[in-house]
Amino acid sequence: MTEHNVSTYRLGWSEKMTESSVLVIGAGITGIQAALDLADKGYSVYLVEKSPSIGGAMAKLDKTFPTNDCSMCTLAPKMVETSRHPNIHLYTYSEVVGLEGEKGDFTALIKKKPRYVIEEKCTGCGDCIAKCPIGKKGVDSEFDHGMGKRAAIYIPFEQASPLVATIDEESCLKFKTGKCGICQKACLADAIDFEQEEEIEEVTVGAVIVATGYDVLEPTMRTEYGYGKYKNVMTAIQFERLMSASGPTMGHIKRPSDGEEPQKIGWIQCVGSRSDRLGNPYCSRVCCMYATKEALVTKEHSPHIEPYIFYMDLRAYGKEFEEYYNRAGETGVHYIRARPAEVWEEDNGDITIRYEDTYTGEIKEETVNMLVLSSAIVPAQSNKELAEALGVNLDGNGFFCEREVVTGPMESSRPGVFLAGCSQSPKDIPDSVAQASAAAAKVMDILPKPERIEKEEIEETEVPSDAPPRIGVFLCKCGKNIAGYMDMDDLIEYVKTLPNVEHADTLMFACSQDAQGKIKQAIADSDLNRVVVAACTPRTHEGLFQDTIREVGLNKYLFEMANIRNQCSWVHSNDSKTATEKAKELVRMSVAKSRLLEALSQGEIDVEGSAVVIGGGISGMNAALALAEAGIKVSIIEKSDKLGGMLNNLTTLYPSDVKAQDVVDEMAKMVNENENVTVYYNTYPEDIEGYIGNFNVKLKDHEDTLHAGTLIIATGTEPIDATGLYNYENSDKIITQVELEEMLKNGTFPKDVKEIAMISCVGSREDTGRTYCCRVGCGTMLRNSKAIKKLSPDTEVFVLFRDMRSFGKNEEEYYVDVQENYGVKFLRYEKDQKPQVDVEGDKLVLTVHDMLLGEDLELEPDMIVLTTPTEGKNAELAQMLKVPVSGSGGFFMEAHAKIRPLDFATDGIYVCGCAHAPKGVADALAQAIGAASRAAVPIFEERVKGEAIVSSVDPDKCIGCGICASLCPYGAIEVVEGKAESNKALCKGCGTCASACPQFAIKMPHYTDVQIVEQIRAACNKAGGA
Amino acid sequence: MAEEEKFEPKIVAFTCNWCSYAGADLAGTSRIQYAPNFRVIRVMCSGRVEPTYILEALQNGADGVCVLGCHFGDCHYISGNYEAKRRMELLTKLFRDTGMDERRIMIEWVSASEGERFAEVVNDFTEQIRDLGPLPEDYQEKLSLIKGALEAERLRIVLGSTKRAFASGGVEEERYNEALYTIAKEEIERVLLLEALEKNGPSIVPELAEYVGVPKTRIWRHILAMTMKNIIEVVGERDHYMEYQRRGQ
Repeated sequence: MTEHNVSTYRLGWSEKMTESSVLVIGAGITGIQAALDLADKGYSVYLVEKSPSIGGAMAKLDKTFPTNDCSMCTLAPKMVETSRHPNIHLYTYSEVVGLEGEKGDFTALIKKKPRYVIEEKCTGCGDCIAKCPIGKKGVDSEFDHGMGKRAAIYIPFEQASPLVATIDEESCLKFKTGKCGICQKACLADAIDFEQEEEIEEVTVGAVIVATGYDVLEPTMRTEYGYGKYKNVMTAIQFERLMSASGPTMGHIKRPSDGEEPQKIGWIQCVGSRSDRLGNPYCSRVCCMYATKEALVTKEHSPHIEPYIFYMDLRAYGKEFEEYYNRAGETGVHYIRARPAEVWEEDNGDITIRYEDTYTGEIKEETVNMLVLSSAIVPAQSNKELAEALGVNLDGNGFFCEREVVTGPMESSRPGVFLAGCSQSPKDIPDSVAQASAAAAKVMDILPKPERIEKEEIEETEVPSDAPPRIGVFLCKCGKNIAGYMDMDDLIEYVKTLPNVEHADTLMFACSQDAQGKIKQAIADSDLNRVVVAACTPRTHEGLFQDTIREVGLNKYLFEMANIRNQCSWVHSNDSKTATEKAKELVRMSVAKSRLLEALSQGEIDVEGSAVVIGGGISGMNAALALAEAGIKVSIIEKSDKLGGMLNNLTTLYPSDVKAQDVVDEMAKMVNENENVTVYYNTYPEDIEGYIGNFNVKLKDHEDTLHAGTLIIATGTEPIDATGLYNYENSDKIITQVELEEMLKNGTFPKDVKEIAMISCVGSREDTGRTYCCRVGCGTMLRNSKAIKKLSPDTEVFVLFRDMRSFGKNEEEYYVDVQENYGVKFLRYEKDQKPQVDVEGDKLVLTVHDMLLGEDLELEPDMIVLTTPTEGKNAELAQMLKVPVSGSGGFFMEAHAKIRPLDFATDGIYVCGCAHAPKGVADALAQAIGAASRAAVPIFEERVKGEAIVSSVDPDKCIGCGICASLCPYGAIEVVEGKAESNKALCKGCGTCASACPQFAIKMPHYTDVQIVEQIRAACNKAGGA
Repeated sequence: MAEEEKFEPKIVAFTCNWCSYAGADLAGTSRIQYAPNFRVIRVMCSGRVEPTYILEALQNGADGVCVLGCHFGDCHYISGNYEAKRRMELLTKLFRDTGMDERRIMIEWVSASEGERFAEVVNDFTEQIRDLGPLPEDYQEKLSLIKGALEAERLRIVLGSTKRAFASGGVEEERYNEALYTIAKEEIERVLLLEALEKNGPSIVPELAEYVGVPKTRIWRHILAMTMKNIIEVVGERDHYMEYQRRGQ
C-alpha cells in the first residue's frame, strides 16, 4: 500500500502557471465532463479520442441503473454540446504519443491517424457504406463487440460525433489489393482520400487529464465458462448491444446460435475479477448492478423470460442500488449465490451451469438458453503505451496509479497530469463524472483563470407579434426508431397541408450535427420564424434544437417539439397506421402551439465572485480549498466547533492505512492558512434567500449575512440511534462501530475482550424504513477487525455479514488480506435469518445460523459491535434551499443520478459527499472537489443567463388578493401596494399562480392560456385547419 | 353494438414536465405498448392546469380528460399537485351535481420511473371512456355552466385560498371544502340566473326561481349580491316584483 506522506497534499495546490490550455485524453462520459467543465470556465481544451467518435462506453449501453434511463438519451446532448463548444478542439481517431515539459508548460504530441475520409467534407450520409463491396455484414463491428457487423468504411453508431465515415485499412480492398475505390466514386462530397497520411500535431498545454476509460475483459481464459467456444455464451457488454434498440437486433434479444428468443438467461458474476488466480484481484465494482439492470430490463420487457444471476456477494452499494436490487428480485430475477464451477453446451445450444449451492453445499445444475458473463472492467490495453508517452506510472493491475488511493485519487505520479474515471480504477458513471469534475478542479487550481472573452452574440431577428407565422417542421426518422414504425411519407404530406407550414422535411437523426446544419439552412432559405421538430422528447433534446435556431438568430422560444418517438412510434410499434395517425395529431398540436409562440428574453444575472460551503467535514474542506486555490473567496459554515466532521472519529482511512487524524489536521491547517477561506464555527444557516449569482445566507446567532454566487452543500450524514436494535440499549457490551472506533482511537479498547462479534447491516437494507445500504459498513468492519487483530492477535473476531461490499479500489485486496492474514472469521447470514442477540445477565449470547453446517451456531462474545447506517438530517436546509431530499435516508436528490450527480435542478447549488448519499472518503473527496469545479463555472463565467419562462402580472387586471403570493412555493410573488409583483429571478415557472388567479391576470409565457387552449383544440381537431 | 365497438375515444391528457411526462417517455424507452387515444399536453406542473382547460377539452370534442402529476411529495414545485387535486375534486362534485358522469375526468399520479404505470393509466382510462361511449350532446350546456362558475372571481378566490385557509390555526379542511362546494353551487346558480336574463330579457324573481330551479329566497340572495356588485340592475316592476336585467343589457 502507498506510503502516506503528508507533504504531498500540497501537490496541485501550488503557484499559478501561465498557460490556460488543457489536454483531455479520452472522450467517454468522463473526458466529456472534464472537457465541458473546463471549457465552460473559458479554458481552451484539446480533447483527444482514439476511436472515430466521442461517447465512449456509455454510448454502447442500453439503459443505466438505477433509474433505467436510456443511456444514449442522456449522453447524446452532452456529446453534441461537446462537439459544438467553442472552447473544445476535438481530435478523434487520434492518440497522444508524447508529453514534454512540465506542469504549466507541456508540449503534447497528438498523432492523427488517417481515416482516409476528409472530416470537413464528409456529411455522414452513408452512401459510401452502402456501396462498399465488403458489405454491411463484412467485418465485426468494434462498437457492437462483434455482435453486429460493419463495412470496411463505416460510422461506428448512429449518433456518432463527428458524424463522418472512417475507412478501416485492414479490411478495405483498396488497401489490400490496390483495386476497388468504389466508395470514392460513390461519395458525392468528394471526401474520400486514400492518400491521407498519419500526422503529428504539437499543442501547448498547462495540464493534462487522463480519462481513457477501460476495456472489457475477453474472458477466454475462463475456459470453464465456454466463452469463444459455445455460441450462446457472451459477455455482458455484448448482451447490452443486443438489448439496445439501436443495436444489431434492434433491441430484440435473440440468441446467436439460432436467433430464437431465449426463455431462460443466466448471468455469471465476477468473471475475471475478485480472484488473482482467475483473472484480477480487484472488484470490478459495476458488474453486480449492470447484471441486475440487464436482467431487470429484460424481465420488464419480456416478462416470460426467466433471468438467473449467479453471484458471490451482491454489491448494491450505491445510491438507490439496494432498492433497485430488491425491485429486480420482486420482478422475478432469480439470484443464486454461487460461483459456478463449469458450464457445457447441450445439443440444442442451451448451456448447463454446474454450481455448488452455498446453502446446502449440494452440487446443482441449471440449464439456460443463453449465458451472459459479467466480465470485469480491465485496464485499457493502450494504458501501457500511453503511460510511457506521458511519463506516469501504472499500478500493479495496469490502471493509472494515483498519488494516494483515498486522499489523492485524481493526481498521477507526474505533477500537472490528472486522472479521472476508469483510467484510475473501475467505477460507475456518476462516480466517473464526479471524478471528471474533480480533475477539472485540480486543473483550475494550477492554471490561471482564463480571460473572459465576450462571446459575439448573433443578433436576434425581430419577429413582430403580428408577423404571420412561417413554420418549419422537421420530422426525425431516428434511424428506424420512428421511420420503422410509421409512414413518414404520409406524415410529411399531411404536415405540408397544415396552415403556416412553409417548410417540411425529414431528417435521419434530427440530433446529429449535419441535421443542425439542415435546420439552419431551412430557416434561412424559407425565412422561417417558428420551428417544430417532431422527434424523441423535449426533455432531452429541446435545448439542443433551441441552440441551433439561436445560432441563426431565431429566438430559442420560437421552438416547439412533438414527441413522436417515446410517446408514439415506440409505444405503438405494432400498428403503423395508428402510429402515423397519432403522429399527425401530435405534430398538428405542436404546430398549433407554435403559431402563438412568442420570443422571450432570458436576461443576464451577475454572479457574485464568492461561494459558501455548508459543512466543514472532509467534503466541505476539500470543496472550499479547491475553490480557494482557484482564487475564489469561500466561507465554510460549520455547526460544531471544529473542522473535520465524521473523520474526527475515525482511526484510519480504509482501504489505505493513512491515519484519519493526520488528514483532518493537515486539511484544517490548510483551510485556516488559506486567506481565501473564512470559517464560521458553531453556527448554521438560519435563512437562505436568493438565486444563482446572488445568494444571501443568514447565519444563526451571527451578525454577518454571507453573500455568494454559488452554494455547496456538504452537510454530511449522522449515525442513527441504535436503540431497539439487537438489545443495544440493554448492555454496555453491545456497542456501535462508532463507539468501537473511538475506543480504538483513544486506546481504551478493553484488553480482556477475548471474543468479539460484529454484525453488518444493522438498521439498514430493511424492507421498509431504511431500505438503503450504508455503503461504508463492510469497510468499517474490515478496518476495525484488522485493527483489533493487530492490537490483540489472540482475540477471536467474528464478522457476521450479508454481502461483503468491498467494491472500491484496493478494497477487495484489503478484504482478502484480512481474511488470509489476520484470522478474522467471516460468517454469512441471510436477511430472513438474522442473528439473534440475547443479554443473559452479564453474558451475551449470539445465535447465528451457519448455512454450511445447516445449524445454529451459538457464540458468547465479550463484545458485540453493531454496524449501523448513517442518515441525512437535511429537511430544514432542503426547505430553505427549495431543493429535494429523497429516499428513506433523507439525502439530497441530485439533478440526475447518472450525469449530473453534483448538481441540483436548481441552478447555483451543488451537493457533495455524504449529503448526497453515504460514501467512503475517496468517493466523498472526489465529489467535493468536483462540486467545487461545478460551483466555479458560474463564478468564472461572471454572468449567467436567467430563466425566461417566468410569471408576469398584469397590474391593470390584478386586484391584489394575494392568492398567487400565498400559493407560490418559492416566495417569488409579493403584493406591493395592492398589486402583485413577480420576482423573475426566483420564479421557477410552474404556473400554479396563473391557474389560480381570480382575474386571469398572470401570464405564464410559453404556456399561456391561449397557447394551451389552441393545443387542446388541435388535439380535438378543432383548430389548425385540416 | 358493432358501431359501439368501433368507438375510439379522444382523450386529452395534461402531464407535468418532471414526473408524468417523464413516465410517459419511459414507457416509450421500455417499449411498452398502450392504447393510442391519449393526446398529451405538456405543462411544467399539474398545478398549471387551469380547471377550465379540462372543460375546454370536453367542449371541443374530447370524450375524457386526464390530469397527471407527480406523486405527493415528489412535486418538482413542492406543492403544485395538491392544487391540481383540489381543483379536480371540486370539478368531480360539480359533474355529479349537474348529472354528468364524473368518470369522464380523472387525476392520477405517475412518477418519472413509472413507465409501466403510465401505460396502465392510459389503458384503464381509455377502456373506461370507451365503455362510457362518446360524450353525450346534452353535456355541452352543463359544461359551459360549470365553466361559467369556474371563471367567477368569487369561486376562484376561495379555490385559490387553500394555503391561507389552512395556515396555522386556520380553517379545518372539511369546513373549507364545504364552503367551497356551497359557493361553487351558488356560482352555478348565478350563471343560470344571468343566462335567464339574457334569454328572456328583464325578469322577476319567480321566473328566475323557476329557470334556475331553486327557491325564491335563494334568488333574492343572489340578486342582492349581484346588484351590489353591479352585475344586475333594476329596470322596472311587474306583478309586485322588481324586474331585473343584466347591467348594460
